[in-house]
Amino acid sequence: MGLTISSVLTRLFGKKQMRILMVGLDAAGKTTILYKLKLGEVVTTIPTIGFNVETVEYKNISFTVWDVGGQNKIRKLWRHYYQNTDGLIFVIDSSDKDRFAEASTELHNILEDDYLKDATLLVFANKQDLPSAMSAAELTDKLGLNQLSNRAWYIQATCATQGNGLYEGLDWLSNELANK
Amino acid sequence: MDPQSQLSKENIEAVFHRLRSNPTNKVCFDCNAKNPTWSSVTYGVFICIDCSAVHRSLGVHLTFVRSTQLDTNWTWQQIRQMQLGGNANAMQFFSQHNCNTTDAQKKYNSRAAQLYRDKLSQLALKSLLNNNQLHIHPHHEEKNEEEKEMDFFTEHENFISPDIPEQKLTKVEEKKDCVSNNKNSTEGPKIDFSQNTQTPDSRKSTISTRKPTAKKSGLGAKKSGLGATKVKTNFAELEREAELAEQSRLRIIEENAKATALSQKEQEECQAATRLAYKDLSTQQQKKEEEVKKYDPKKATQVERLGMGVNSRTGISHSAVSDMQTIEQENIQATPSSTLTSLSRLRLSDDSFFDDFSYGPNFGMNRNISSFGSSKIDSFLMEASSSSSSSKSDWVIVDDPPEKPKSKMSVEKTVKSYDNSASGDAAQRKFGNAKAISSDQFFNDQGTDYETKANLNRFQGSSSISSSEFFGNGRDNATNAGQYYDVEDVKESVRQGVSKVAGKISSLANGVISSLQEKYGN
Repeated sequence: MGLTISSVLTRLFGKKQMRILMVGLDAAGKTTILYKLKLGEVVTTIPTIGFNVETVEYKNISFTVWDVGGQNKIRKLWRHYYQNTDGLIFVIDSSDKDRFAEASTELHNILEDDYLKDATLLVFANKQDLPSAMSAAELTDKLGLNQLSNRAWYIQATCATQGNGLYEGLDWLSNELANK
Repeated sequence: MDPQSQLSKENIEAVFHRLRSNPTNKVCFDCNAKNPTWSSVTYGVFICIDCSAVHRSLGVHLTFVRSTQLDTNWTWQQIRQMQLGGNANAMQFFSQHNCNTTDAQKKYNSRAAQLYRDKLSQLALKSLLNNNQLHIHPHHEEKNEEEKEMDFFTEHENFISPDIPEQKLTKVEEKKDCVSNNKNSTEGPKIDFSQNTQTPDSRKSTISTRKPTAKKSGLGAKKSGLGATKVKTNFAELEREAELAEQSRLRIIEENAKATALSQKEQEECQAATRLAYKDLSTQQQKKEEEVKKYDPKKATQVERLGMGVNSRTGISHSAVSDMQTIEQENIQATPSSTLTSLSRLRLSDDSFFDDFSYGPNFGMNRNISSFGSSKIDSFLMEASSSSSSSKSDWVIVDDPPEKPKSKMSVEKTVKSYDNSASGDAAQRKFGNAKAISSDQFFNDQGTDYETKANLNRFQGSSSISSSEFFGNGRDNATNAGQYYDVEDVKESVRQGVSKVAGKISSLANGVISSLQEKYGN
C-alpha cells in the first residue's frame, strides 16, 4: 500500500526527467542559452570544444540539457548524443544571414537520423537584439520548417543575453513532451 | 573563381601553416597571447580563444570568428581575406587611424574598423578575380597590395596622391559623375529653387564626411612640426589642380560648341552649380596666394591659420551668394556631361582646402544640415507612402475573416490565395512579426477554411508559433485525448489510494478506541 501512495505522490509531485540535446552552428549562442537557463546570468563563453551538460529544473520537469560544440569538425560528434533524446533544441543566429543555408542543411541532416525520428524540435531564433536579425517567420522559411509536416516543431525568437523567449520555448517543450 | 566555393581540407591546412609561420601572426591580435588558433575572418587577424569569445559576443555583422583548426569549410573569399590581411596589416591600419583602444566594443565599432572591413573584402574579391593560385607569394602580395591600396585611396581621396595622370583622374571622376547623377535623379521631385543650392552641397557632404578620419591622422602628426610649409605644399597642389581645371574648362567650352544639348534639367543645374564652385575657388585661391606672399613663412602657424580661416570663411559665404547668381546664367547654356569631371575635381580640392584650415566641422555641419534636410524629407515621404501601403495590406488581411462567411464566393477566393502562399515564403506572409511559430500553427493554415484566417490573426501578434498551431486541429484533438486519459489514470490511482488509506485509518481508529476502552474500562 505504501508503494501505491508513493507512486501516487511521485505521479503528482515528482519530477519528470527529460533529455534535451542542444545543437546548432558555431557561435549561435548555445552555451550562453544553457547557462542563462541554469544560472540566470550571462557568462562569457569561449567556443565549446566538446560539450557542456547541465540539469535545468523548470515546472516540475528536470531538463538535462546537452550543449554540444558547433564547429565544423565537431559537428560529426553530434550523432553520438542522439540516443534517448526526447527533445532537440536547434539554435540559430538570426543575424548571420550568410549561413542560413548551412544551418538549414545541418538541421535537416540531423532530423533524418533514426534516433531522432520521434524527437520534438524546438528552434531558438537567437540574437534578436542585433540589428538585421531575421524574424521567426522569415527563419521558418529559410530553415525549411514548412517541409516538416510530420513532426512537432516550434520556433521561438529569443535573446539569450536578456533571457527573452527562452522559457516560452521550454513551456512548449514541456507541454509537448508531457502529452507524448 | 567563385568566392563562395570551398577549399579542400588539405589546402586550408597548407594555407594556415604558411600564414602562421609569419611571426606577426604568432601572437593574438587583441591580447598578444602566443600561438592563436582562432581568427576573425572579417579583419583577417589571428586571435586567441579567449579573445574569440569577445569577438563572438559582438555579432557577425562586426566580426566573424572561425577556428583555423576546427572549421573545415572555408571559402575562397575567407581564405583570401586571411592571406591579404594578417595581424601586421590590421595593426598598421588601426594605428594609422588613431584607433588604439583595447576595448573590443569601441575598437570594432569604430570607423577605422569599418573602413578596414570594406577594404579587406574588396581586396579579397579583386585578388580572386586576378589570381587563382592557392598561395599568394609574399613579394607578389605586397605589390598587389600597394597597387590596390592606391586604387582604394584614389577612389576616395585622389587629391592626396601627387602624380596621378589626368586620365586616371577623369576615370575616377566619371564614376563620381554617375553617383552624383544618380543622386540628382533621386532628388528630382524637389522644388527647383531649393535644388540649385542643395545639389552641390549634398555632393560635397559625402566627401567631407568621409575625409576627416583619413586625413586627420596625417595632419595631426605633422602639425606639431611646420604648419607653414604644409600650407604651402597644399597651395602648390591647389594651383596645379586649378590649372588643370582651367585647361579642362577650355576644352569643355570647345566641346560645348560641338555637343548637342543634353536636355535633362537636373544635369544642367548640377553642372552649373559645380562651375560656380570652380569660380569661387579661383577667387579664393587668388586671395590665398596673396596672403601667403604677405606672410613670412616663418611666422607663427597660429597667426597664419587664423588669418586663413577668416579668409576662407568669407570666401565661402560669398560663394553661396554667387552660386545663386551664376546658376541663373549657366542655366541658359546646355553643358555636356564632361564638364562634370572638372567640377568634381574642383570639389575635391575645395574640400582639402577646408580641412587644411581646420574649421571644417562647423562649416561641414551647416552644409550637412541643409543637404540632409531635403534627403530626410524625401526618405520620410518614401517611408510614409510605403508604410501606408503596407498598413493597408495588413488591414486587408485583418478585415477579411469577418466578411468571408457572408458569401461562398469570397470563401473560395481566400482558399486560393492560401494555396499560393503555402509555397515559398509562406511563413513570412502568414506570421509576419510573430516571435515564434510552431508546426501546428503553420500547417493549420494550410487547411482550407476561412476559420484559419482567424487563427492567423491570432498569431500575428504572438511571439511564438508552434507546429500544432501551424498544422491543424487534428493534432490538438489527439493531444487533448491524451491528456484526458492521463487525468483518468491519475484519478483512478488516487481513488484507490484514498480508499486504502481510509481503510487503514478506520482500522487504526478502531484500534485506538479499543485501547481506550481497555484503559478506561478498567
